[in-house]
Amino acid sequence: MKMEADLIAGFKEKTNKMLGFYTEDAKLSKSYIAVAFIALLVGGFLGLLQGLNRAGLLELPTWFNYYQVLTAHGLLLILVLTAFFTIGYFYAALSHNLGGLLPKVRKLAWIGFYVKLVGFVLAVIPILMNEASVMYTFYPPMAAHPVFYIGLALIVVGVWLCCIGAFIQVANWRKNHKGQHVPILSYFATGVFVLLFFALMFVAVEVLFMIIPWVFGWVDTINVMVARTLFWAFGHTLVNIWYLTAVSAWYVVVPKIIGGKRWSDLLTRVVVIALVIMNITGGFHHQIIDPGINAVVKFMHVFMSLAIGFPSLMTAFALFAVFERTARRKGGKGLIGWWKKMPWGDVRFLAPFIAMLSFIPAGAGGIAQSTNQLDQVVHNTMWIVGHFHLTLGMSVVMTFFGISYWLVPFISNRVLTPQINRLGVIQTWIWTIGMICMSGAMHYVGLLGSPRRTSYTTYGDHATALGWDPYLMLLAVGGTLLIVGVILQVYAVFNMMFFAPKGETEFPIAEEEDNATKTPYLTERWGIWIVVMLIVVAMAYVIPLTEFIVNAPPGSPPFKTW
Amino acid sequence: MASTKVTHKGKKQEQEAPLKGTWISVTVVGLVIVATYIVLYGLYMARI
Repeated sequence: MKMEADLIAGFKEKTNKMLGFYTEDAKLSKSYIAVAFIALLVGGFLGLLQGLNRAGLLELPTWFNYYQVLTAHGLLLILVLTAFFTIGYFYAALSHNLGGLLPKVRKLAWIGFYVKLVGFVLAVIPILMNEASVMYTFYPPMAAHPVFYIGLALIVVGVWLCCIGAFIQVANWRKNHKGQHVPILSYFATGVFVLLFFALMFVAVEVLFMIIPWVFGWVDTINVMVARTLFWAFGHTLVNIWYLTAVSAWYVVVPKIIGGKRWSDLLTRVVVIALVIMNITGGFHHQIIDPGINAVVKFMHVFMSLAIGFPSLMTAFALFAVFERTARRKGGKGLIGWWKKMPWGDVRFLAPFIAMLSFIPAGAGGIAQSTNQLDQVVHNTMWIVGHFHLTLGMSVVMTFFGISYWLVPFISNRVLTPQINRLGVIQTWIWTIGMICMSGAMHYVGLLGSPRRTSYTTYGDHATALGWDPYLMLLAVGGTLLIVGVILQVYAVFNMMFFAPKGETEFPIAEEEDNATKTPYLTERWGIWIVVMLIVVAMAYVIPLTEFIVNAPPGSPPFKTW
Repeated sequence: MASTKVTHKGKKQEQEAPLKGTWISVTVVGLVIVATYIVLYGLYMARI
């Protein structure tokens, strides 16, 4: 009996390996994805509280006020959800593409997992104690409890460990596959981890060498301009790391799901390289209204920010081309009639497709905001919050949702049932309507002057502020729909993880077109691209940072503004 | 042989498949960007 059981187990293991499924690696990704969706659930509820408060429908108690909720909401959704999902997803890809994770890589990822968890717990405790209501941007001179920053530092270390693990995994594969291109999804993973590795350096310097000595009282003041600049060199890159993660699924996974092929391997890799090189330098457009930065530097940063639009437009063309070509092969006709041939009933396509569509207004808003004068219309208003929810809450998160409907069954050795697919389609529409209501209301009320990062107030019943109320009510309606979407999504994920029928699920990776041109090996020369990236970063940051340090404004002591 | 010819013809047709729908879609993307820019520019000019 034992021999028979061993034989069956051995056969299963061999079959799994042929399918690119490795049990130990799957457990790792499953843990990361589980944490991501728990963060979505908790962060989503906190978002609902904020929405109801902003509409004047709910007064939050003093022991759990608006700014605490806002900080926790940001931390859970912007850091926990995205970091854990991105790492879980790309580690699943590295395992599947590159013949299973090396034991030391898996170990690094597990250590990173626990270091990040400890970091998040440390960051959350002072928030709950109302000692860290500094929001996720933690701009000095607002100062939180030191434990909050120690938690952030541990998160950075945890993510770095995962970056190093990914680099070891890819380097090992390249050593054993000389002259070959790294499989495309692992190529995206490489780009994402390169960006994470370098972008985190900026925030690490800010937290470790500026903020921690300042909040412990080892130094009296902080250079606010340098701190803000370091934050946004990281923060802006983080936004584009989410975007690049979503784009990886758009280029590689979605074509397979619709029964098509990838558009162009070369174009895809060029897009990854372009986003890696040009990303970090976009940080200054978040500070475009800040004083103390000269116009020439601002102009250069506007140019660098807008340059990211170029690979995005290449992506738009490539994806529409894949859709049209696939639809026409399936018999689609007419100028736009071929759209009918898309698998609208498949949540694995529907969710990322709506995510892509939402990136059109999201990207357009981003382009406009990057312009100095136009940003003055919307800066620090609810427009920015709307833009952020459109980019992260729709373009990125809906893609993550779409990914979950095949990734979670894959790593759980289960299948996507028609019932969960139907639930996913319903969830997708609820999320879409909710986000259009909420984000649309935020955009519009922002144009009317409603400020961001402010709890509900009528400013002494001022007519202008009272005029915002109908839109804030729509915001609350959207937020309420979104929490329904959150509950359905979290239910679907944990159902697929633990309760769906056992079975094999494919890891969908589209092949290249039959007549595809050969991609030059130059795209694999990461050494060159990283040097170019560092040169571009130096061009963008050396002069302004030197100016901020040499002609430093008066430093600021810490303030607790809440 | 006949099937080979059909395959070849099919491939030729695939290669020559027009991407007019793609161009229309990308044009819509461009128009959204331009429209957003113009609206905000208009608001900026109206408010200064």
